[in-house]
Amino acid sequence: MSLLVVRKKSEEKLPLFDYRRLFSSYKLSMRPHVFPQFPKHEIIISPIDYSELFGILKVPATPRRVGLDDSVSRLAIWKALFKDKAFPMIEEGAVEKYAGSLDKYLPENVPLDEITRHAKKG
Amino acid sequence: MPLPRTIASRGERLYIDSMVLIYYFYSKQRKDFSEKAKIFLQKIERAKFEGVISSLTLMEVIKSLRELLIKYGNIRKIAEIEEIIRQQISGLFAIGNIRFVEGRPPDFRPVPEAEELYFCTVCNEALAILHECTGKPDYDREEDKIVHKGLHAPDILHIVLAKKLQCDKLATFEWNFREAEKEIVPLILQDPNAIW
Repeated sequence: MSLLVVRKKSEEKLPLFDYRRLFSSYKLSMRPHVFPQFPKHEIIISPIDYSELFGILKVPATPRRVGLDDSVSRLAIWKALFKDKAFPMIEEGAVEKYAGSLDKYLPENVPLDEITRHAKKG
Repeated sequence: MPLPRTIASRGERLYIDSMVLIYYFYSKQRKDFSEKAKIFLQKIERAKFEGVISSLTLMEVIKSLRELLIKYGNIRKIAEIEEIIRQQISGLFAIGNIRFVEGRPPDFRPVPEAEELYFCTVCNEALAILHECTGKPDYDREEDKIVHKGLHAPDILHIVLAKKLQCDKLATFEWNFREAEKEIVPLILQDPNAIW
């Protein structure tokens, strides 16, 4: 469930539980709240997540704007970089699949700060 | 514990800085940053946020990857390097809810003759921000001397692009972006007071 912002005070993971019942006593606030059931976690619910959780529509949500249409630019960028190489499709779980995909080519502790600073300086 | 400084709410459009992607690709230095980058991209993939990657960001990523692979990966064949880079960029294109844009705002429709001038309008706005964000002298441990600490020229172009693309925040690991927070709010992923 991604509705909630949980700031952990320890590495202990929050168990799965009925969020809605737990938060029935929650007062909307930007202050971290520690629930007695989970003393090692500070929990904040943003106004938008709160409204979603309880179906309250009067809380202002982020204004909906026209989504960015990248159907043309996406292909144009790919072609500029890789010409006729196969255009990748969206894959479910891609973030997990490709995380750390550069690791096998590089040793430990490469100073990324230095490299990216060079890249930005040109 | 202090109040959260920055909160990114569901549905926000977030411009992604190159550092976030580099830490996502390489996890053998700052594992904590890499984990944050991965979790952040997963939230985009699961449609909590809309991610934006500009061609400028991709240019920085590609330059960084080339330097990493040659300097630290000891790979010398250009074709091999470019193939590895293609695989990494393919991985980004496979992530849902990331928009790849050149930086042209959706409501900007110049006459054909003026299209090439668009870059100049971005640069002029960037110049104005550069004038405001002066940075400051700061001690650099690596160089053991006082250096100028502030935004790089490409960082300011990122800020202008993020604004023009109507992004709510700019996601980064760089503290320097705070100096320009009145232009666009930085979502600094390493900031313990940033909630996202």
